Amino acid sequence: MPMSGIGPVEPAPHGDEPRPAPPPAGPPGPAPAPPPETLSGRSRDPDSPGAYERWTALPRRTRRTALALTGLVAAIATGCYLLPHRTAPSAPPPPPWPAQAVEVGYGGTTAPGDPADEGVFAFRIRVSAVRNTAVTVENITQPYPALSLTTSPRTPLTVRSGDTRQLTVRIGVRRCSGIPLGVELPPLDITLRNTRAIKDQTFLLGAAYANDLSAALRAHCSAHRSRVPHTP
Amino acid sequence: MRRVPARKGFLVRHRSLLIMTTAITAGALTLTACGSRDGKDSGDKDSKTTVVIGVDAPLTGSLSALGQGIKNSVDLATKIANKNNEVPGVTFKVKSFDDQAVPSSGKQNATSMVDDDEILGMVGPLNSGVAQSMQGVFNKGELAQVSPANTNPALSQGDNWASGKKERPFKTYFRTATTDIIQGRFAAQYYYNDAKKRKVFVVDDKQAYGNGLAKIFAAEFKRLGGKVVGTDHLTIKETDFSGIASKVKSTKADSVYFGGQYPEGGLLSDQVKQAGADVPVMGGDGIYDPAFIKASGTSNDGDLATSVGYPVEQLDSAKTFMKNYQAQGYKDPFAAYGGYSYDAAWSIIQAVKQVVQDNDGELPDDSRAKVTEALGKVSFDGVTGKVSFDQYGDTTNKQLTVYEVKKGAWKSVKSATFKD
Repeated sequence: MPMSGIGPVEPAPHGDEPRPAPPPAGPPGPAPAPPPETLSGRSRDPDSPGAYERWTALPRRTRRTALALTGLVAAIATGCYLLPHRTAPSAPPPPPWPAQAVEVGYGGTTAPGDPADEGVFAFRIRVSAVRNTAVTVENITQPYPALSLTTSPRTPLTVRSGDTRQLTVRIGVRRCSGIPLGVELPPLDITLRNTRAIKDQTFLLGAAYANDLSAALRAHCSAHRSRVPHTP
Repeated sequence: MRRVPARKGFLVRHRSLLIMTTAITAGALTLTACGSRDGKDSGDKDSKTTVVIGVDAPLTGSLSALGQGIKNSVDLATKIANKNNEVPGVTFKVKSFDDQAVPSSGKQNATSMVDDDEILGMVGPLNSGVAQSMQGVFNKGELAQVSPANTNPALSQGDNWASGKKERPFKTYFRTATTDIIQGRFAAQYYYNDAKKRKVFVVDDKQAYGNGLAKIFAAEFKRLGGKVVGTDHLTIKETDFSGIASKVKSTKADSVYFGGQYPEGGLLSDQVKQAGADVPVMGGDGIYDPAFIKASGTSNDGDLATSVGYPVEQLDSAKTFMKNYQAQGYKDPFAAYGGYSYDAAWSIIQAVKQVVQDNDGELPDDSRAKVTEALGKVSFDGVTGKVSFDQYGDTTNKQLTVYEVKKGAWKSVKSATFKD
């Protein structure tokens, strides 16, 4: 007997074969055509095997293949369904860029204090870490060569997430030529760092800062000029 | 005896069919499991109210690159809102109008939008000059307008803003773009402090946006100690600016500032360099487009532009927007104002949501007035950052970036945050 690759046909089970359908009412028609050979047809030969019979009649290897295939696809289906609902840990999103994690606001001028501060315009700024990340103020500068800038406390300083730190910024006048009198949008350049990046960001503190700065510079330089003796 | 061989033949012939059918059935189940959850119940579609968001922008003509990006971004916002059922009971649609950057066309479009009862808010326009022609129409029709691109200060703060007398002229006007008050002054600070320019030649296109921006720039540049060594005006849609270029050369300007849009800006930059003046041209958001670089026949590396907002690569919120935009397969890129247009549309959607919630899930009879009122109170994290409006209808999110042309592409070089 040649090897066909197909195992022996299993003996057909008995007792669960479908019963033949009752004959339709009405006049007898022509002899019905033989039912098509289908695996699942409503109308079929009453002698044809049932699903279970057919299944068990299949070779064992074929049944294993079909079962394995069904199991695999069912597993994929289950996975597809559950995947969006799972709460498996995923990599946390990176913190926002440092400039987007802070708010910097002008806090007004400080009261006159140390006499040694003559010629210095001092003001407060508030730095708030408004996103879920601590931010370090690495450095604060201003762009005008005629002026100098120092801060108290000194930088770098770190603002914890949700906190606000206040700094006092002192602007000194190196010379009265080239000062930004009347400038509407004097910037402060602040270097910010968090766990994501270190970035320079310019902060434009608005009209109040611009007006206060100009007023202080004008007052200082006017007084300074008046003290300089006129030469003939 | 006959049945067994027949059954064997039957089973043998259909063994593979059985396996295939099993696999197909299970596969169909898989696809059902994987793909069916996004679908909404189609049974309630008929009961939904349609709300239309109008869009007005230059969809044809030389500025269409910006206009198409605006239109597509609004379309995307409505699709996301519908998919997420953002406003239960409401389906959003978009109706777009082409103003061709012409104020009279914008005014006609505004009238058409006011006459369309389904439109409860609109996004646009691109040009400040077009916006001026539309504002009165919208105000009379109580139809809210959110521009993603207008930067002329007078639109929201009145004609006397420069003297400190700010007065909101139209309660229906809002914008997600920041104003030229900040943009022009920041540009001057950059030119003077960072680029060390001292002698600038200022050109504008005589339009509301370009002329206003150039004036603001020049005033701050002079306050800083710089000199405006020459000024001139060009006419939009013209192409020969060689006369201006010659003046730039003869005045020995070390820089040019241009208030206008990219079609003329790119040609101006090209002709300035061809005239032998090796100086940069700087402009506002109107020139911040790849078309500005393409319009210049000679290399214009070193040219500068300020534009509203942070660079998109530094906005995590923009990544989702870009991904969704790309997935839609729009023909045109979202361009300079895509994120702001999306946020403008989303602000209207949020206003509609609030109005519906306040009226037991239905739109009230005076929906337009209510949407306008609700717009002033919206607050959400948008593509471009926090989105909300101040008492003038201006955005509270005031960020700017300086871009420089490097190797034929715009690259961000400095960003600023304004907080008054």
